[in-house]
Amino acid sequence: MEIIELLKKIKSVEANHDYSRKSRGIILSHAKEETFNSNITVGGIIAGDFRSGWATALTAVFLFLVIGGFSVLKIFSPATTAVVDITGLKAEAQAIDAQIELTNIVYNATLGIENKTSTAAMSLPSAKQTVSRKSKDADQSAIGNENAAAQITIDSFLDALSE
Amino acid sequence: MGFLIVATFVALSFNQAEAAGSCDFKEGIKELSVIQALPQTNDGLEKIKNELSIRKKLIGQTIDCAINETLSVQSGLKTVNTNYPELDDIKSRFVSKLNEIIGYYQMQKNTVNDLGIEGSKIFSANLKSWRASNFIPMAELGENFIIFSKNQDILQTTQNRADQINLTLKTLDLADNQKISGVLNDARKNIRLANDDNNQTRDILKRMSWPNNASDLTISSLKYLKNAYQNFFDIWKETEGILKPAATK
Repeated sequence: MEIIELLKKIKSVEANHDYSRKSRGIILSHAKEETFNSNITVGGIIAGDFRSGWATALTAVFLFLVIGGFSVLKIFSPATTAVVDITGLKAEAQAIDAQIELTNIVYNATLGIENKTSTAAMSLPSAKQTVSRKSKDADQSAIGNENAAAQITIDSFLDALSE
Repeated sequence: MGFLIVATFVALSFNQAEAAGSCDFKEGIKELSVIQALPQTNDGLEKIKNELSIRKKLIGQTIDCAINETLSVQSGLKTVNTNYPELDDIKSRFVSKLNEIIGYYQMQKNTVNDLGIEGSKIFSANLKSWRASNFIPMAELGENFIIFSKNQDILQTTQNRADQINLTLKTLDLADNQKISGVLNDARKNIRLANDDNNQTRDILKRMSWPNNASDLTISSLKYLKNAYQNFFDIWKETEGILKPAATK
């Protein structure tokens, strides 16, 4: 009965500020640990590991129990990398830039199509279509007969057939 | 994400290139002007017959071209993979509307043989007018839909990023940091505004409203998302400033 009570209490234990600070340190100082270990010989590492093996294992089990195995999993979960995964963030931001460009291209192309469909532009006036009409007038005054023929669309051809 | 954008661009390019470039009317214009320039012989009946024949042929060619144009818009829409059931419904309605347009063209083509010269002129003017109020809106709305459907993935990715960052900040005990939480709130606000614009675009597409400001809304929504990513970068810089000194201790 006492053990169950104790486990219930342990479950409610939360990681303290000091632990959070240490965890942050673990994440960022990982590379530094490797630098420290570079001067140690292989034999030394094995001997050291054997000496400290039991102590490390017991500490790990203790920590896992104290924090309910929860915070450790969270710290090493992919979510943790969200703050530091700057490459991923950049790639996603660039994808948005590309999508904005794409939308602009389609938007401009749509204006171009409207230029070629004069009735569409005239029957439903809007700011967008006013631009189309102006461009159309400018285009028509600028191009010669040959170029005009090269730009014949379905609607301009229907225009020609209606005369 | 990059693949999606390329796929969108290909779908849209396919749409417009096919729609704009598959028909050449230069020969038709020449043919018509040649027959009109011919001198009248006797009662001029021969000339009228020839002109009518050419006009009917050219109208038929124009309708075929318009059908191909509609089919290419439709196939562009069909290539869009919608991961959201609501979008599937909108897509089906667009495809169905374009089928109606094709049906109308085919029906009109069947009446061409009965036309006289004056009738063919009126027919051409009416067809052009009909396209302006039926085909052109659907073609533009279709393009808006393709872009919109791709933006849903970008919105979802941004929202996931915000959730991940929020969780990580809590784990690292940084969620209460005034500056960081302020920037995170800015990011949430930007995502909310992006969603608002996105919802307005969805309504436009659902109602098939035209003319519309869907392109402006789409760009506005994307700009808000870009601002959210700027917030994420700011959070990253701020956390780096806090974590680095802690790590060196």
